[in-house]
Amino acid sequence: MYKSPENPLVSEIYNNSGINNGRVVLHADLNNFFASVECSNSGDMSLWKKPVAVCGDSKSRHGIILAKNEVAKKYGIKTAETINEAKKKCPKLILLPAHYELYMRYANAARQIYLRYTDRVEPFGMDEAWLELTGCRGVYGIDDGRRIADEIRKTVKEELGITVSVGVSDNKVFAKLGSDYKKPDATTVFSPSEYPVIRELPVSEILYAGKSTCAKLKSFGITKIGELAKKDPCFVKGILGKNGIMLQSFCRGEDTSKVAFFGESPEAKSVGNSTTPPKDITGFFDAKLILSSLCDIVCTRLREENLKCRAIRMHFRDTELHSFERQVQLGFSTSSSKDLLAFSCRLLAQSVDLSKTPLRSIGVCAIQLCPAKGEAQMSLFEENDGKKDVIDKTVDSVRRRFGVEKISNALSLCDKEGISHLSRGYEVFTNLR
Amino acid sequence: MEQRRKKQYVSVTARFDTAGNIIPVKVLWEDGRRFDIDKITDVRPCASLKCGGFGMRYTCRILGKETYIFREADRWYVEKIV
Repeated sequence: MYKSPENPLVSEIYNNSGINNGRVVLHADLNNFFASVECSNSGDMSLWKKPVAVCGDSKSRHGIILAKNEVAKKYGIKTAETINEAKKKCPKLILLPAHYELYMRYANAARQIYLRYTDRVEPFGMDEAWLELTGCRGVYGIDDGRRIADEIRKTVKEELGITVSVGVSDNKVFAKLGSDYKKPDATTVFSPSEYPVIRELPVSEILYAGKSTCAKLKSFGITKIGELAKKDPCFVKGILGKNGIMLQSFCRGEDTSKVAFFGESPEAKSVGNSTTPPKDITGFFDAKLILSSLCDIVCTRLREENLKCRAIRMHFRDTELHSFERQVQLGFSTSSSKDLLAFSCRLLAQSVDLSKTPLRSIGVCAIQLCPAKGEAQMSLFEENDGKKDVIDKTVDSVRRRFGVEKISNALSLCDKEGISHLSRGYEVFTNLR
Repeated sequence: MEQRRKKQYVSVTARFDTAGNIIPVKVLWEDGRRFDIDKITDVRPCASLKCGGFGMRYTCRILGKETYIFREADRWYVEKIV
């Protein structure tokens, strides 16, 4: 067994002498969020006892299960499976459409409850949040994490009519592990004395350990969190790269990342949008129409954040639901939709033969971001007379004043079937107006 | 057996006090009847377990009976017996 000279805790990592940094971190996870909101908001209490699932719109090919309640779970219904598959498992399944505004209202109300205890509330998706209580213990006459977690559960249930699972630990990763450990409506404390329990949990339970990572670890005989924690870091780095080191530190309870203040948004590392059009993408022109809209949105968001990108990454999903990604360096920094469209079309042509592999969904993501103002590496080959910047600024200005739909790329006029129409993504303008 | 109820949005005449609190004074029912709120005994954020939703719940005494009125964002609703 490997013993790190820097970390004498490794050999004893899961003994009671394990890491205890004095922090109290909570992770709150609203149970079966979309389905619970639908059941609670409907006023029909009998819905809680029936199998209920929230699904996307099947007409626009988003007909997958987005969330299910506890009863539906017992039938083996899983998130992201198709409506047909779910109906086969449970013919009596009640399907409800999604109401995102309603979910946002509930999520915001839950966050307001968390904010009664601490100003360090970091949302993780719509239904999850971390709370740092280290500096707040004793302020409200409550001094231990479990009691605060229990009070939060009780308050959310009373005030919102839905349940929440809360994990308590001394770091964010184990707090999240705790909230996933027992559901629904439960508090799980993972203090150093509970580390033997963590050691036996599957490695897939740890944050950011995805399918491929777990499969790779399994091929080396690593299936439990404790097993990964004890491996030689050089060995882990050899099989998973630098992400392996990060995962191993998570498994050891060495995550020291702070919980952000509420409203504090972390620096963006990428800006991307994707779409599943109403029909499969079988031709290059259709793909170009869609990419034109996607690049437009991505660049608009970049400009709003005063950012430029130096590379793009594209995401493709074929009709067999296989996903793959490709990326390309631009050689210069830009926030111009014209540049992004040119590079994304080139990358698409190099990556996919649409006649053989039709695509179900496609995405464009701007990566390697840098500030829009300041020094920038200029390209030797691309001309930049500033015209593109002026055009983009003018388009933004027109949209801000008169609406998104008032000005668009001429290419969109060729879109008779509306395949490039994206219902989401332009919120940046609706928020400003 | 417990009576079934549904969410019924209603018009409310409310008073704003100097601290910015909103206090409902009268409820206008869908058929045009007006009901004076005699007393408010409790105000708290709460979910409606009978007809769904959540908001600020006002426990009111109207015509000698205790009832709840909910303020959901800028709208008001009651738990109507159906």
